[in-house]
Amino acid sequence: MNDQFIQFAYLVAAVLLIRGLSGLGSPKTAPRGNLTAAAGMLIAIVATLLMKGVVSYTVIIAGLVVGSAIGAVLALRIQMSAMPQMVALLNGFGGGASALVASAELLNYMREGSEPTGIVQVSGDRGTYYVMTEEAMKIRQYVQEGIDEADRGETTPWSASEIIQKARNISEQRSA
Amino acid sequence: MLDDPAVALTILVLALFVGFEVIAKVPPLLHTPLMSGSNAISGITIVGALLAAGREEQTLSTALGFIAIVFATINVVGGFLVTDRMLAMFKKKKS
Repeated sequence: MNDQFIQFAYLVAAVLLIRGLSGLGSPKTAPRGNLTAAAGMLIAIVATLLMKGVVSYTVIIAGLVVGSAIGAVLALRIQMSAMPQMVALLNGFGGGASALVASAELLNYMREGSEPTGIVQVSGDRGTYYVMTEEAMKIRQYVQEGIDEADRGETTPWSASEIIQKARNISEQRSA
Repeated sequence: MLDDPAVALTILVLALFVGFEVIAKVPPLLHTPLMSGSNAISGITIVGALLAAGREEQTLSTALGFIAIVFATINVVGGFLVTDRMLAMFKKKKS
């Protein structure tokens, strides 16, 4: 899916989430506000699944199904008198999720640093293939821009060592 | 465009104002559903979990991503359902 389309979908989701939250401010609009916010959340989730970086859906769908089942059972079975504790528990799950995501991303970043060629192997439902790391893509883009400018006669052509130095600067900026 | 720190900071500051204004005048009666509802909305971090697991870069990070998706989905689904149950109580009292 187009990046811009996904960004637009996120905007729609954000608007629905905000409208939903503001609906919770009055008893009349509150139930519909909750529904609106839930719709916004659904749009955000679907838009994320359409992103280019997502290669395999088995893990994701398994997680969504298991989580929905547990969440629904917990929410529908709990006694009304235990609601505040329930909200606190849900909040804890959300925080745990964020901690796990931070750990996963840290592992990915640590590994990227050790890749000598700027290419990582990715395998998923659609098979195994190789993608450039984000850093390598930026460097390539920069080099290409320099070549294009030189071709148009806009700047004096950079020497190879100048290009390498510029690329190193980007590298250092990113890892700093 | 969102990589630009200035844009990200702008969005953050505006979001702070929006958040404050939206919840500022909520009557105390609705504070508990508001807490539950805003907790469900904070489950937007499920997006991070989906990307962590969906990229499938390493086995370990994908496993952590899977657990993160489970937890985040519990937060989101449970959160909206619990809020709905609380609000149903209000409807009955009104009628």
